[in-house]
Amino acid sequence: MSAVAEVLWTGARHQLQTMRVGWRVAVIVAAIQPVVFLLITLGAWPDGSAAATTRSATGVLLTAFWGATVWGGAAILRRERAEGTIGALLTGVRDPRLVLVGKAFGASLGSVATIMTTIALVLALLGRPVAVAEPGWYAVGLLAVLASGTALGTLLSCLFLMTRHGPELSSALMYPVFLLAGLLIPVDMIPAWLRPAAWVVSLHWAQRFLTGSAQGAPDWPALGAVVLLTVGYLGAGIALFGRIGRLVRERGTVDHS
Amino acid sequence: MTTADLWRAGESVRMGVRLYLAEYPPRILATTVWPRAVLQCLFLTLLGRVVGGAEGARFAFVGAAALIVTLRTTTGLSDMPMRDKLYGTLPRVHTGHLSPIVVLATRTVPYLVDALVAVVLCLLVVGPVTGNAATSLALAPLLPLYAVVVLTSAAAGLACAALAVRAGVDELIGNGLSYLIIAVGGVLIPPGVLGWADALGSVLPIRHGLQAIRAALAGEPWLAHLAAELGVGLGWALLALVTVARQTRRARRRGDTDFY
Repeated sequence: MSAVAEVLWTGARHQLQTMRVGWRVAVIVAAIQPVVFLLITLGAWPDGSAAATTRSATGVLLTAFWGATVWGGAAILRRERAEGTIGALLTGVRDPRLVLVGKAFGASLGSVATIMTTIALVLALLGRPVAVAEPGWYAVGLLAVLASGTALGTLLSCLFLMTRHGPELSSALMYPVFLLAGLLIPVDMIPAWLRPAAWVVSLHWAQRFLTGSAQGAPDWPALGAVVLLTVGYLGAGIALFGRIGRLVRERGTVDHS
Repeated sequence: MTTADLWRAGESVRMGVRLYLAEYPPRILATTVWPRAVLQCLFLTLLGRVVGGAEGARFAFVGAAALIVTLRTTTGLSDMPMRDKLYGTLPRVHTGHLSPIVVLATRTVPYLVDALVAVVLCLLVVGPVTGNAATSLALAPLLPLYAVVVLTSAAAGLACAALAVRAGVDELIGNGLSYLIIAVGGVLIPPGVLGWADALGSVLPIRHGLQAIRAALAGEPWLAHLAAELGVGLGWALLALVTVARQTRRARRRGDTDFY
């Protein structure tokens, strides 16, 4: 395994262990939240078709994933600061950017796995079938979601490090995306002038690609948009992290950044 | 309660307000806490429209305006004793002159006020935005019923906070109760759709209060629902009282209040 891959994987494993220890937040956002949203959306169509169930389950997956990202991946650096390890992270031998990206990947992986397991269990208990016409492309879409969550976690983690009110910011950031990204609320239900906001949310495009794949007509431009936005998020996150690293070293405020 | 105790309770309220403002300074309230409340109400109202059309949106709006109080009550209050535990002040609460439950209850005052502010903001913003302005107007005189819901859910929040402090599961219990209320509290899914949900929802705060609000909106009798809500709230308050009293006695007897 190359050195880079080893650092990334070690970061991911560490984050997964951190999630296991701090399981409470993961249970709320990746287990309880999707169950409630599924009950609400599926309850509306007691005899819904497999296609409708798949659409709802995909929307719930992405909605819960965004919640998990703002409470999980986005909190990585905040946790490092709270536990006094951010100094070691920034001044360690390994490139801190790789460690952060690895941890963000671990957070996304843990969240996606938990949410999908929860959704599968609920659907099985309710006896609701799903229908995915292009399972291979659906899996590709899920990988894109995983990558996008990693990039978003990296970017938000840096942003949240700049304030001590990170939890309130996490809380406030959840609903704009719930509302505007078209995950459970169709975009055509929001005012026309607000709709372009969805264009900069990768999960909006991921929803289009995943539902298209489930119906047998993958939306390739949507997948392209997911990839482009993910690269943009990651680039911005890494650049911001580098800037924060430089600033706190210059000012000697590494533990209070 | 003596005059000195009243003064102490007043000081506890003052301390609660200062703690609240330290945690949520006005700029954070204005830029994150209140917008989140309004956006959550808006999201649930639109979700109601997705699942039930215009009538579903109206149903969800009335429910979401009540549910929003849980941000400050069941969720917001859940970590109050936990913070004392983290900051090392729990022994002082346990051994102080004022009863610990009075300390906790008086500190909830800013949370209760903020919960009502959130309801008012939702009525002012979400109603007109979602085409439910008339419902907002009709709900305005029913704010006292929303205030009852604030009190009963705060009682549940205190009980959960007390139950969670020993195991350190405040986030899980507080948020879990809020999600449970969304699922079975008659907020988005009308009572009667899921049998097991009805049974569970009937012992949760908000459910009966919401039925009272819906009945009052429809011009139907609502006092029985209100009485049920008050009964549920009283039950949760008793649970909080008994739990805190037991914990205080045990902590004093074992001398482990620092490690509680």
